[in-house]
Amino acid sequence: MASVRLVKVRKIFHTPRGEVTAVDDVNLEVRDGEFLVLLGPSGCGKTTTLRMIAGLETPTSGEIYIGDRLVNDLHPKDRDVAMVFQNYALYPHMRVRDIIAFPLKIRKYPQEEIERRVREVAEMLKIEHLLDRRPRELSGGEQQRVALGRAIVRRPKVFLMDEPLSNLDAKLRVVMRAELKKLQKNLGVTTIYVTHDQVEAMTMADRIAVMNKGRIVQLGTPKELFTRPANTFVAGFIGSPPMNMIECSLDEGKNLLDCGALKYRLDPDAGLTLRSKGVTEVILGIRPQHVLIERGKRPDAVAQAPIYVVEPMGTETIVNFKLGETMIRAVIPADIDVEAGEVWNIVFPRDRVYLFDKKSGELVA
Amino acid sequence: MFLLPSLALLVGIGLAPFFYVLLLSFHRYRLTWTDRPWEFVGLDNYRYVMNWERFWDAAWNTIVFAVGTTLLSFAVGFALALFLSQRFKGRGILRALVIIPLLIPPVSVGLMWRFILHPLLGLVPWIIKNVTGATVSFFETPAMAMFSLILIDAWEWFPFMFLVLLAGLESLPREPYEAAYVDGASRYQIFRHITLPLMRPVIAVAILLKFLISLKVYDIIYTVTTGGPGTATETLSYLIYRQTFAYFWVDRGSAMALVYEYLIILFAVLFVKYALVKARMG
Repeated sequence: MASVRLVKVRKIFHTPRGEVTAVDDVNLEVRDGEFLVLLGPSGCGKTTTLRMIAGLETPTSGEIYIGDRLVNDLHPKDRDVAMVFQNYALYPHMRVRDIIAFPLKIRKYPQEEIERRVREVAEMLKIEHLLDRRPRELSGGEQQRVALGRAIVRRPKVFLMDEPLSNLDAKLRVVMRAELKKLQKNLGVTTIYVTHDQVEAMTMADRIAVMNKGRIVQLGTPKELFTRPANTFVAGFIGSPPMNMIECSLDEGKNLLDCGALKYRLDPDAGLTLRSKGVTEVILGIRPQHVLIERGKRPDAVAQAPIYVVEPMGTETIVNFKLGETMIRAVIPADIDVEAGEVWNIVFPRDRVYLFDKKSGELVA
Repeated sequence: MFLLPSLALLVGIGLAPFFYVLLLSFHRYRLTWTDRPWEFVGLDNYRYVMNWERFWDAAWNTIVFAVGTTLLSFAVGFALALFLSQRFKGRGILRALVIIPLLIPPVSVGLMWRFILHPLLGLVPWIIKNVTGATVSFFETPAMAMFSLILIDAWEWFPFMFLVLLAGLESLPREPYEAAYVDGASRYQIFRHITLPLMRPVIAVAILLKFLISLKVYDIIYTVTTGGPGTATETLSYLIYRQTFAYFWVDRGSAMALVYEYLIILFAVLFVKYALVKARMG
């Protein structure tokens, strides 16, 4: 087992169109035995980061440690990491048995040991009946298990997983998500897991590092990211449906946020904080789950508006309001009857509102 | 109806000559016999060919030549393909240079090498003599002549092997390589356990094609040794040519051509059936 540490790691790719900074001075410490998820949109540098840890890419600058060992110039075979690829990357010409045995075979383990370990791993992953098949005779889920088996069999210090569930159908993905998490806890191996799926990240991770444009924009537990998003990017990326973001400007005299079609009265503390930081242009964020709607008139309503679209989801209903140019979404229980065109009062509970600096995108209050 | 033109073309240039040759092989006829009709002799021509030592010698020569040049051009072509499938500066230029021998007409290749290897005028014997003091004669003994022919033909054809194998290498999936790399395989282990097995179908096709092409060899023999010394490097196609167009025994030539053709077809079918299918199955 080992921790993984990245110190000011940077990767620049030279393309015909010039230099592209894929990873920009990333600092990250993954604790021993931790399940850490690198989360971000495509092109944010998360896969490149993972590939640098695996040794498939060389960092342009910075240091990568596995345990206490600097591994920048180490061949993958000496890093003792195992990787699960998005498309599984099974050896097409081998039988499952040989694929799982491959990492041991090239390390010249004795034959009995190889057989014993392959059997163990196959049992653990419930693929004993597939050992004599070839990859093309397996379903996506089965290939996924074989890829996991090849990673597990070696008992590496670190697992690296590059979107391993993204090629599975939705149902299987949910099942594998739980199994993978349980497996990781049982084995206790430090795991770095790359995904663009925030649900996957939230459900599996001990901690999540959210990446954007080559940088880590926030690192924290799933709960922290959800309740205290550090900036608009994280706030918009995590949670479904995404957080409502409304551009407002501060009306200092009245302690009021003027957001075009809606007005939001600040509590005095928030107003003070904004003023002390000199922020006058604000992005108001509130999760759809926290938006309240009422038929009757309320003094604290931020706006009164007709329903634009209703999206029933089964257990809950998403209600969309259109206020000028901004759309506001509210998630309400499915047993409340709503219809498009009806006029409702919209309420933003104060303790659920996030205020971001419009310029920097950082959370202010 | 619409098939008629292409059907006519097929019969005209494909089947008609074949049946003409088939017909010839059952008759006794020499091109110079302008006043004598064809005389039906049944299987006489075949009987003659089958019992003719020179025919079997030529068949043996053909196989030795084909095996030698196929293996040699494969080895060189594959090594170069492996080398030039790596990424480095100047790769494009090197790739282009490698192709050159394939672009030279075979007759020129033959004449060029005949000159280069010439015992008195050639560059290679001169170098060998000046470096080691030994006099090497590339076409004097039967073994040396065959060896030289194989060398020349392999020189002409290794770019073909190179191209086919390079295309194969370039189309291999990337992922298994990365997986093997992270799994801890060395370069040799990756070659042995990943590249070679994945390349097997391509290698099988390349070798089959080259071997079949080599069995038909004619131009290089004609320009370099004309089958000599004696008949030591006489291959089947060269023997057939001599019998038919030098001695005008078109009847015997036809019979030999047909036997030759059946042997090649038989070989190709067997090869496809075993080697190729097995390679695909892994």
